[in-house]
Amino acid sequence: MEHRQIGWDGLRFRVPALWQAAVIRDGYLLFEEDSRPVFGLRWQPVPEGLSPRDLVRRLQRRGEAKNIRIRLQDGPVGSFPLPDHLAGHGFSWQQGEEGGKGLLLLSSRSRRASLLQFHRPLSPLETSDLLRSFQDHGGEETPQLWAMYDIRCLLPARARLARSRFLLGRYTLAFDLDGLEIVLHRFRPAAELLAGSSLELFGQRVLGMRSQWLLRKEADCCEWEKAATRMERFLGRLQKGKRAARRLRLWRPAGENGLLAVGLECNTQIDGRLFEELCASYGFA
Amino acid sequence: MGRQPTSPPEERRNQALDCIPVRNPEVRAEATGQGLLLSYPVEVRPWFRGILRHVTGNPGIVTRKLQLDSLGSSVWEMIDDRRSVRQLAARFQERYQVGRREAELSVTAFLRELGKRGLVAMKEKPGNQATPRQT
Repeated sequence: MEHRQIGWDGLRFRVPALWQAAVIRDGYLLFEEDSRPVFGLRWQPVPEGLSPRDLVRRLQRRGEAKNIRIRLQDGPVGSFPLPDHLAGHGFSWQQGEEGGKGLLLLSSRSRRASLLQFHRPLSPLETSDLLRSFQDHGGEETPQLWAMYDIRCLLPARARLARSRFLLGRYTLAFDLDGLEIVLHRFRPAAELLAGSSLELFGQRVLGMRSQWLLRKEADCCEWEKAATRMERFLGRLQKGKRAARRLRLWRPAGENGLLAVGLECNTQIDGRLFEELCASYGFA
Repeated sequence: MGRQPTSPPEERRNQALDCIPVRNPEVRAEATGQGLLLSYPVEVRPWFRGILRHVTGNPGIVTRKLQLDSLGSSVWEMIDDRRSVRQLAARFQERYQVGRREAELSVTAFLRELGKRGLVAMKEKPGNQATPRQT
């Protein structure tokens, strides 16, 4: 079975390639298979000193208020060993016509609880693949993997997702890192989008770059940089959120019918090393 | 365990995907090097209408333009007042080899933008309800 690596907000796991992320919200992912929900995942920090069993009991109490019946179960944790940093407890839920099995995982690394909901019975192989690959690196200082749909990138641990958006032929993820904005763009299909145009013109037309900012121009890569003047920095401090310094690299990876771009925006000086690290780790999955 | 759920958000999404986009007949499309250039009439704000009429004699209608890129142009051309959003997304997916969910999300976002500008309206699927509504 083909699999896809997912990396999101410190969580990493593998899902069958047929599962598609249908809903992406803060602290929540829902995967579908053939347009039907198959796997939901919620996560959030929890107070110290609570066991997974305690957390499921809390869920039970909260569920009663919403007419959701939750029962504690041993499986599927009992039959599938989890990574060392995770402890878990199984449950089943029923709300009217809906129901299914789930698992509450508690990470000793991140002190976050992840609630896994299976909307249909998974095969032992599917369960095993998912649980063996599941990791919660939230709170660690090492670079975090963000991998969704067809892109993947390693970002500093403190980067927080600000927005994620699809437009025709375009997927954008934007992050905030202590006032620095990191934007990852993916365009597809490149052949259609670049028809009769060049990377340079595409960057100007679609990403708002200007010819005077052009730093590097090659057949399959263009880069722009705009430094902030003193006055712009001063004005930027006055207008919170206004970022005057920009750097953006747009390239077409060899053999791919897609374009990738990494953009940084801040009100001080762009960190060149971070920029290079992001460009090096950003690619098609 | 594990009955197939049909959650309210899923139902709403399915209903939205079953809607049929209908073009505003007053929109004019003109081919340019980058794609289609859409021209459409817009009513100016009431407080400005009087001033505009007084100064230019214009009854309060101005023409706005929207340049579509090649992908936007192809979706615009697919709208035939019969195909549903789901069918448009499926065509987009097939033509540009993108994921199904990506096609749905991006086509829906595009139609929402067109709807905000009054370029398309949404018609309920026949059998559901026949009242057109703005996206």
